[in-house]
Amino acid sequence: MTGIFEVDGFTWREIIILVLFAILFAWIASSFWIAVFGAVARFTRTNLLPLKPPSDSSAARTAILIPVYNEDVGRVFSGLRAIWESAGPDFDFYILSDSTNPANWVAEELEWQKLKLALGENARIYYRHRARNIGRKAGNIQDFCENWGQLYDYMVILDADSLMTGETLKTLVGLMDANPRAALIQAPAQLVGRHSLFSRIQQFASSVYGPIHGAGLAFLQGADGNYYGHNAIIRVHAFMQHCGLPKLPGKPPFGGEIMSHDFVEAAFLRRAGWEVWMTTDLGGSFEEPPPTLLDHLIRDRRWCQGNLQHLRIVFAQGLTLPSRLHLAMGIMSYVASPLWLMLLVVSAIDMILYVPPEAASYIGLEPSLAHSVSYAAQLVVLVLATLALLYVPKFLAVIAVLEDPARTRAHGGTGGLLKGLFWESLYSTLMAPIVMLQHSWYVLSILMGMATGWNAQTRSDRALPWDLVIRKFWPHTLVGLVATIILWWYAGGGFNWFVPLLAGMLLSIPLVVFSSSPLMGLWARKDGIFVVPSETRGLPVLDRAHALAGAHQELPRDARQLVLEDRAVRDLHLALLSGTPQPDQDARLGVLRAQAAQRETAGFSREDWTLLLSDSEGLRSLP
Amino acid sequence: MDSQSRQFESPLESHPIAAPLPCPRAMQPQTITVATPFSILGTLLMALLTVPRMLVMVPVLNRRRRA
Repeated sequence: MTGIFEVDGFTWREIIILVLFAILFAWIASSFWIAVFGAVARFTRTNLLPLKPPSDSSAARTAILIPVYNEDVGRVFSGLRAIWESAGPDFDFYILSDSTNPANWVAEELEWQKLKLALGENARIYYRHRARNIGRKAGNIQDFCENWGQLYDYMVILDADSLMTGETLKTLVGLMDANPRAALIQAPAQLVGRHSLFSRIQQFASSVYGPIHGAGLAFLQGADGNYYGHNAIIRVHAFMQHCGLPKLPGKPPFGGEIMSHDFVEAAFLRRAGWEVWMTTDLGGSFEEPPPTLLDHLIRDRRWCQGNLQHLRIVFAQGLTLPSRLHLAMGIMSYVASPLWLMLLVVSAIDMILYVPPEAASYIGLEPSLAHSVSYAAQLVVLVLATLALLYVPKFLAVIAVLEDPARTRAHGGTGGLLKGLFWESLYSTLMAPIVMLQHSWYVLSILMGMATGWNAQTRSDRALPWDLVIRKFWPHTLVGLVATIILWWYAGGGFNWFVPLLAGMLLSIPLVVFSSSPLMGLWARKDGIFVVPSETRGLPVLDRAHALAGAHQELPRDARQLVLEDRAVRDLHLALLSGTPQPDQDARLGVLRAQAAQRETAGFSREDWTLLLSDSEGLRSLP
Repeated sequence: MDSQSRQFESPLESHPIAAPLPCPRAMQPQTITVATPFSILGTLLMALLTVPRMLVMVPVLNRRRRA
């Protein structure tokens, strides 16, 4: 590229293009090489977890932690019960609630009691609700460690939509027993269980491309692994000793509590000399993808802020080089978008302002024809190299699946697999510019100091309505429209280079609507596209969780009202409230008590309900 | 009382314990020297100054080791 630009001398635009292109090319090359190493490891049957094999039985005590924050109560407890039934009574389960919605809080208590009664005394399933969400999810885990961590050798952290099989849990415990220097073993979660077209595409990508990428990472990082925040087993005493998170100086979004705590905790463990591993061949570790592109992007806003905050940490003293690389790759996965956008804008400007060299030049006073040298061959090589970096990992992953007939059948056969590869590549190509614009906005807004809150995720399938999608994605369409008009008029033949990007932006609204549809997902399933092993082979723990969630009975009334109106519910709530501090006595609490006694709660706000439900004295005195 | 909510009803004494008795031990926040633009610049400058010197010294060290 340098050779092409230097023909008529560098312009400032060309220098910017060169720098941005070099950074982005290196970025996609890193993903490419991870996939290549993963493919080599797979094809040569390399042992990616060089640890002592797990012991058969374990005397260790392991807690399974499920932090929840205003989640769908039925889904959380269905998943928990499915895991418990798969794992047996050897594990202690903790539902660590940070729910701020009072209705969720009471519903969780009732579901917990129902589950305890259903499973009997054998089941050690505990429930804890925090009055204040200090430190968000990391603070929730820290609170568990500080209160009960000393009772356990290991803890397995799950997300609200995580599932793990009993066999996998027992193997992880055995591995920790046999390898006392291992502080954390991450079991990467495969995406399963959702039905919208978008989810199916994500599940297919996770099932086909995920193993190659995971194998590449495991091969390269060894004991310098990373932690993804859930579906991992952790040695409690190592975690308690080395993973207390500091507050970063300054205000959010770059200061304050560390949002993406997982990478930092892994870095701290490595700094202290503990091993952090990733197991790619174990299986039995699952989570559900976001149901729509909109939900995916909403989650990305929080992750983006968390990863950009790592800019403060990536150069911190004492971290190992691989830990810095993990942090840098997390940062780059979001910063790449604005860099790509800048590259496109500057390239377009350069294309528009480009003045071709004059057809004749002079040697002395004599005119002579300029030698026109074509750089088309170099340009084609450059474009082909870029395309290879983007798409060869997908082909390698498909070859790795095709090598195994059982896996191929589980993905819908060779035809289904190849059709899935084609449609997924098309969808991800169209989705890329939409995600680029959205991430660029996220990075810009964070740099301007706009911090995000902590909202519960939408995890259930939902077909997005047109009006909502139009409201959210009209800017993407407008950017696409304006760019199309400008490039069409001014970029000449260069316009064609931008067509795939412009198509993604122009089609963003229908693309988001149609991909959110469970019906489109069903059609794809019927055509044998985006089929994954959890559907074709069945997955007992997932099937059980879905069956329980399907049979789950919603509460007949507002759970908050039940505390006032149903003596048994109130007694349960008071029993679980014991030990938590009484809220400050103020005039507002007095008014709430009086209104609650009269059952005049229609005007209560969420904060009022939280205050009232935290007031054990007042609840006890209710008639 | 709402009769439908009786599915959750149970006598008070049958409420199982919500969690084991706490066994408190505080987690200490780890020290971390956060990077500033100046510290990053300083690190790069130090690397620029020290790495070439280290590279120049490599043959000398190798000769000493061989000797």
